[in-house]
Amino acid sequence: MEGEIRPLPRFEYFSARSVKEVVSLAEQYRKEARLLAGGTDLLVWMKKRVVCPRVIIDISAVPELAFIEKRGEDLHIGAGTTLNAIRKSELVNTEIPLLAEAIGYMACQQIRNKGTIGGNICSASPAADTAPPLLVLGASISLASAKGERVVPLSEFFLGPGKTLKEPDEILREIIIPIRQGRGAFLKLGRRKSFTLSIVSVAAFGTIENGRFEDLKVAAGAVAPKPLLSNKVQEDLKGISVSEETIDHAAELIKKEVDPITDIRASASYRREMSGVLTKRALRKISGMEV
Amino acid sequence: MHREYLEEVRKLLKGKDYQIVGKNIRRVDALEKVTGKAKYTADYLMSNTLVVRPVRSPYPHALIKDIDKEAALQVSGVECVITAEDVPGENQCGYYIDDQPLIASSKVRYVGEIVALVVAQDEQAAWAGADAVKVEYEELPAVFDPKEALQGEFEIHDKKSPGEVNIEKGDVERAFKECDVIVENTYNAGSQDHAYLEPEAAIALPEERGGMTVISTNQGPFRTRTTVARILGLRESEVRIITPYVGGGFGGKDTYGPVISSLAALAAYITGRPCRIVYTRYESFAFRFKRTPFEIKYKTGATKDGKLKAIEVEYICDCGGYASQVFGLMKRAAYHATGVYEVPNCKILGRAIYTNNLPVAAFNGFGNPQMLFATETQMDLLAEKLEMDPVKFRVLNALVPGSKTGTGQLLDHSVGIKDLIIKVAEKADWHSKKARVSKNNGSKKKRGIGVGCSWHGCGTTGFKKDWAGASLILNPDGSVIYCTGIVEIGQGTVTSHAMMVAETLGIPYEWVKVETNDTSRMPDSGETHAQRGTFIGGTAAVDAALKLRRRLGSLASELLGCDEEAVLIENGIAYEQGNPSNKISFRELAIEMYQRGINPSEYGFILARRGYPDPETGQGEPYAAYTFGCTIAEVEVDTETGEVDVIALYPGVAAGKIIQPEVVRGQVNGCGLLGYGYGLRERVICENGLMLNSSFTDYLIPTIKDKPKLSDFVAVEDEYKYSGYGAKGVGEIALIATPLAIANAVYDAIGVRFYDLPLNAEDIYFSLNNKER
Repeated sequence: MEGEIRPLPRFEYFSARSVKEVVSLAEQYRKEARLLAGGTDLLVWMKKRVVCPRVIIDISAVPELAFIEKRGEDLHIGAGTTLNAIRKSELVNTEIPLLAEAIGYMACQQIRNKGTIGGNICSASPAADTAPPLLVLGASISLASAKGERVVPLSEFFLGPGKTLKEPDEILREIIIPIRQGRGAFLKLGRRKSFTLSIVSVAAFGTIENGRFEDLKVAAGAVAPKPLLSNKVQEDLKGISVSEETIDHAAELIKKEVDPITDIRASASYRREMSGVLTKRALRKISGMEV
Repeated sequence: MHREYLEEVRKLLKGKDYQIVGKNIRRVDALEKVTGKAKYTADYLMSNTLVVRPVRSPYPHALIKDIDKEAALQVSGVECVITAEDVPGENQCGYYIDDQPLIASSKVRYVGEIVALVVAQDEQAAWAGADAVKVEYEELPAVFDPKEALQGEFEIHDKKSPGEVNIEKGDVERAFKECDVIVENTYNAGSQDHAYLEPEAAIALPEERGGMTVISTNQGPFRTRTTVARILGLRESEVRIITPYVGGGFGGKDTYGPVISSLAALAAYITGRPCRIVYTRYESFAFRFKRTPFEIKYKTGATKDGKLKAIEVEYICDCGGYASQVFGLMKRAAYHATGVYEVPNCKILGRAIYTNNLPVAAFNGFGNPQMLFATETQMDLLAEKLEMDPVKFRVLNALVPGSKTGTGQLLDHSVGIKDLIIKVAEKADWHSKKARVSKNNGSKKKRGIGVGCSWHGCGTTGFKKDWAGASLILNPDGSVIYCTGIVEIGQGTVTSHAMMVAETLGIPYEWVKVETNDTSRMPDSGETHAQRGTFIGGTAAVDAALKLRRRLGSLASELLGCDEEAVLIENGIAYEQGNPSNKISFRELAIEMYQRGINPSEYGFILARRGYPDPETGQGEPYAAYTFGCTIAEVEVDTETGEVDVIALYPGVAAGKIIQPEVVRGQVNGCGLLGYGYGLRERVICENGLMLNSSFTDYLIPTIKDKPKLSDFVAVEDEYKYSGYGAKGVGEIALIATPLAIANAVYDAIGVRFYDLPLNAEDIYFSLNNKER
């Protein structure tokens, strides 16, 4: 029956020790294989028979994939870094606190100890909570394969629910986040206070100069087939003075741009309304207004 | 014939304070549980047990045309496939009435109903085997709305309703004419999943002489035994049910314990080998029976001075595909429909209707959270119309000693509700918080405060009388082995029993060892439900202890050379009152009993003091005693999102003597969170009879982060004469009051009234913002 949980199916298992080994296995098995990092999505999907890979490539013991480093003006985070490692990282909390804040709202300690940032991105859930902050921060990702490596903006990576640009022989190697001055905000509406999937999440990042929004980005989760980065807000609010009206206008723009669905968690119309409320709150927060 | 145990105990202690009862003594199971060593059913798995997997109907309503076992039997590792025709005894596991087969034979009536069992050597083979069983169905029209079921041409069973309940008291028609204010509304209270930590599990071990032992997670070992014996065609003496620690029950394992145990037992009987069945979390959510949805039409009238005159209540319970426990809970809801108030004129009609939804289970509150949601909302609406404070209005109408209930039962003592409401209101600072009119001006977050009152009869709702046993063996070293038919399901009841035994015998609590629950050691003691574990089970323990204590007292008087009346036994020492140096140790007393051939063991057995209401008028005494509850909730509503934050809960109980405050606190706080879930979060979402949110990801129970401030509970110790130490039950009372208080607080905050439980952020948002969805 739909959604039924069964024992794990049988599979062939490889525990990789290096990126080289991972990409070579990925090339060999391509669509027959799935990468196992934290397993917080994959194992559930396998038990539900949503996916049934013949081969599992375990990347959780690849040291090259677990790191957080500042290189020049960017922060690099290995795809295999656990969510809690990022949340607790001093570097992340100093340079891009928005990401640490957003991760704090995700799941629970146990899941954050296992789940990785690469997994959260590659699962390509419209509700992935790392996506909105990474999108507003202008992150890009590097994809590695036996043939080489390519870097793509995260905003281009998501194609739809569970669908990404990643080819079967590629692996997500790292996330590259430009360190910029600015103010950020992340807001999440769930069905309870913690340990819950987002009904809507909104991240905003930008600067305010002379009372005007500069380079403002707003992204929303769980309100479209993929995490949504609003181009409209960025264009419309550029250089516009910070006011209640401007913020209301931004909220209206987001409400028009989202394309939510009705499911067991919330109705489409509630999600649309809430994307506006959360956008308002996020912009009020970065404008130093009372939320 | 009903002994006043409270008085007997007091006499024995000769006016001295209790040494153990009423104190925060460490639970008997505390260390085992916090260290993870406590064993639950699945911890008893042995490597050689066969695995049982059910084959389930994907249809809510269908005829079974054919079951082809062949392909399944070809699967490597599959031992056998069991269908209805293989049942050696009666294929029947209905709770109150015989409408429910263990394995469906000709027809299925809900999604997930079991049509066959596959028994295999391991999990993989069992699953593969279950997939390979070919069942041919002929689909029938299915119905999921009880009102539609009543009107339409659906034949789920040969009748539409398994039964009704009726209460008539006074003259309702005339009384409403004399009322100055009347409110009438329709309420819907939804389903709820038990969501206990330990899913259903049973291990069955065939005994050499044709008997069967089952280790299982259940709340009613004796009912389980009866069901297993019936399925297998055995005598009750040939079936033994062992119930280790149970990882939460909340009523669910009262309903489902006999079912899961019978499935394992049937497989073990047919294969002659040990068999196990353990449900996955998905199965536990999707296919195990749940709280009954109610639709309630409720009319209440009062005079302008604020006195309740009459209620008229008509309600429908959606019982799903089988009657299960709907009979009992429907009756309980009727018996409590007045709420904690004296209402001279009542007309109450409840009816259960078959649908193709999942059948219903017992669940903490057993119909009362649903019914009292309506009652208590009505009380607030009336108070508003009368321009009276809701607390004052409740106090004015509350039951007092000498009051009669809706069933005409005279409550002559142990009726602490009036005091309780006053004390809880004081603790919550109700009057000043309520008066703070400016609290919500301008803010997007609005605060509100609400009150809910509950009552819950202690003891099982009557199809049989209510009895329980207990036994004690005094060992030569003075230690005591205690057995009870009551199950430790996490509620702490066996700790209370052990405390009462120790207090009565006059020994340290640590000397009492509580044995694992085993039906072959005890007379039938009924189920562990209905707030009866301490109330009835604990009184049986006191009964046994008193008998043994009398023999000990008489022996001590002989050895001490004093009058029997002057013997006190305390903390392991027997001595002469007023002359403490004339003493003898309990240990010496114990060995002396053996030396002199005095029986060192004892059984206790009690029958609760209650009757059966008249089936025509509903008048009578359905319960021996009632526990009362009152909870005040403070909430904050985010008007921009509709989210409700429960800031604080102030619970209170009038549950007679509090035997162990920490245990009661656990029950009250646990019930508070369970009620919070029922009030605000937990929804069973179904499509064509299949629950869509069958996981902890999507079935939302409160987490520790949702926990509001839980004020320490207020206790009014309105002792009950006929129970051990005057205790009443406390397992369900606080749940019932919580969602009512929250719903009333939400209204106080935003001025919008909701008539459906649970409340929901979306509904609140759209009604506050006057928006269409």
